[in-house]
Amino acid sequence: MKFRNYVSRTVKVSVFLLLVMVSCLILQHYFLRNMDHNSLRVDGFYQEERNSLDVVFIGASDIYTSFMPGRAYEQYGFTSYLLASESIPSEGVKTAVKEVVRTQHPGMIVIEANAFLYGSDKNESDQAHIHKFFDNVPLSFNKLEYIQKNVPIDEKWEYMFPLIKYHSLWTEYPDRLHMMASNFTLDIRGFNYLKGFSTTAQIHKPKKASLNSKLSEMNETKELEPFLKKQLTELLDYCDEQKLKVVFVRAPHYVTTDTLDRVKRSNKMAEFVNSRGYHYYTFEADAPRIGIDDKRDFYNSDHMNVYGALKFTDYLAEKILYREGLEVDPLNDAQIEMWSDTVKKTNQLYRYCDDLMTNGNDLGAQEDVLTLTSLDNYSSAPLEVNSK
Amino acid sequence: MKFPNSYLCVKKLFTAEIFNIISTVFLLAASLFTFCVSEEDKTSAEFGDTFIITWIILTVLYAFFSVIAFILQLIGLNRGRKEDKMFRDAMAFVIVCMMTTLILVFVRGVFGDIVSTIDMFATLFVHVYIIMGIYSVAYQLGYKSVQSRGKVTFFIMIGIFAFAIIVSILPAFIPDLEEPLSFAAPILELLGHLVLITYIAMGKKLLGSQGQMHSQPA
Repeated sequence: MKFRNYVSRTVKVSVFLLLVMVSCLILQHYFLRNMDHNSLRVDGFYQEERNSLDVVFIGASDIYTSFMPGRAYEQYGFTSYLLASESIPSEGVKTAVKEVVRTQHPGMIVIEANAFLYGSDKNESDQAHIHKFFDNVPLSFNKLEYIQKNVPIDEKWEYMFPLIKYHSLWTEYPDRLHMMASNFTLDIRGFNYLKGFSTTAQIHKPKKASLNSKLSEMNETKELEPFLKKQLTELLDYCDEQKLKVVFVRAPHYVTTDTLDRVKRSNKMAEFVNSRGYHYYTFEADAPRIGIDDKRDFYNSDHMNVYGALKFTDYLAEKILYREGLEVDPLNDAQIEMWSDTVKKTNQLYRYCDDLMTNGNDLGAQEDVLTLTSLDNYSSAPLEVNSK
Repeated sequence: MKFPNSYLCVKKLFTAEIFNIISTVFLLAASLFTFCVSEEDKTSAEFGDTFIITWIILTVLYAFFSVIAFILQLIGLNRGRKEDKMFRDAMAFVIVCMMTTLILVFVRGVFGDIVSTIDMFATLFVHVYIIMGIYSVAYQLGYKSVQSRGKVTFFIMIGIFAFAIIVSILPAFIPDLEEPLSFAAPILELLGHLVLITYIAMGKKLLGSQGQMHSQPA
């Protein structure tokens, strides 16, 4: 009977270890985690059915506040997702592209240029920005590759098991309860309503005049930061190797004399990317053509509110579909139903933000339980707004 | 008859394993069918509906036979637990499996992955405790051949489980393996059931022969 007792004891120890592991995983994913709109956005990407997206947008806040996948689907019929994170570093962009190749194989990848336009490489070592993206990427070959190449040895375990870094976050409860609930409802629902879009209901009150109307004539360039140029080169090499259909864009901004250097670097990046055979759309210069109203369509100098996002979405979607020749894959009934819900929530979100801004209330709007509950008070009917 | 409850338990478990095997065959058929039909055909006007209906029928049949197997396992183990605590422990893990299967209908994402892992381990422990229950009875009856066969069956089960873990982790690192390996899970499950049913059959024969021995006139 020794063998039976041995097996029985082994099972009991295994059950104990399994319970410890499960407890740690639950704590790590739902309770002791840096949860915000970035985590919901990245988590939502991995919930999307494999090979179900026509376009994936990669970048920073410039793109996740500018493009509305629900609007694009409703008006133009293609599915998309915003795999973006606040001030994502260039290494994050490279990893994101690899993750998209691993999980989706979309007809097109659109990369917003922000990560390569900084004047220095300080953002590459900004721990907050790095963690906002990488903490939410599941363990995979690409994540391990990033950790192996870029993370100092004493921090590697934090990236593989974020619980090590965030174990003290329990002190921030009950304030974090709504994000925990948002995280959990995302897992129950199985998809992200807004497909990564988030915004702030606010109208920018700038101190300086906008230079947007003059940008189309401005062809000056400024060299990219050397490390970021190297990163961009490696990214383009990877895209060549994988034969990816990639388009680079620069979303509209409220450009002033303070941010003109970034525009010049964007022009330089356009030259470089074009020379490698990829298209680069400088939508900053197109802002007047898009119909962006500098006095109404931004919530700060770097991001558009829903008024601007709606116009930009229509403009970019048309470029993607007609100029770039995107091939749209058919959807099954379950996917059509899901995207119908996305369209409704997007329309409700627009009306919600419009209402807030009309009444002078400044508030963030994203995929969390508080915002989604507020949307129930608004109509989901197609918007009567014509962006053209 | 010695161990009458264990005999009835093992009889029910044998029938349950037959239903498990049938359900796994339907699961394998559904996986193969999904793999063989092209993406275009799945959403085409001519074949799309046929694909969905066929897939639904195979999945429903898988679920139907799985539920019957669960019920038979519970009935059997409920008898067996009166005579051996291994069957009692197996029953506890069958209940855990039922709960995890039910939860998995409603959740996805990371929580779904966690529950799925629990389900995988609980299924292994059900098999382990069933093997140990029959082993225990064989030990008490002094049948060394059944005992040694029990050890072999136990280690084969562990091997199959370890392989299943590797197969579930590999696609995260080598994405191209995901589609080919999608068949590995139902095949390994089928193999596990086949290995288990041969040992249960041995236990059933052993316990059945005990009944015949005692019913023969002195």
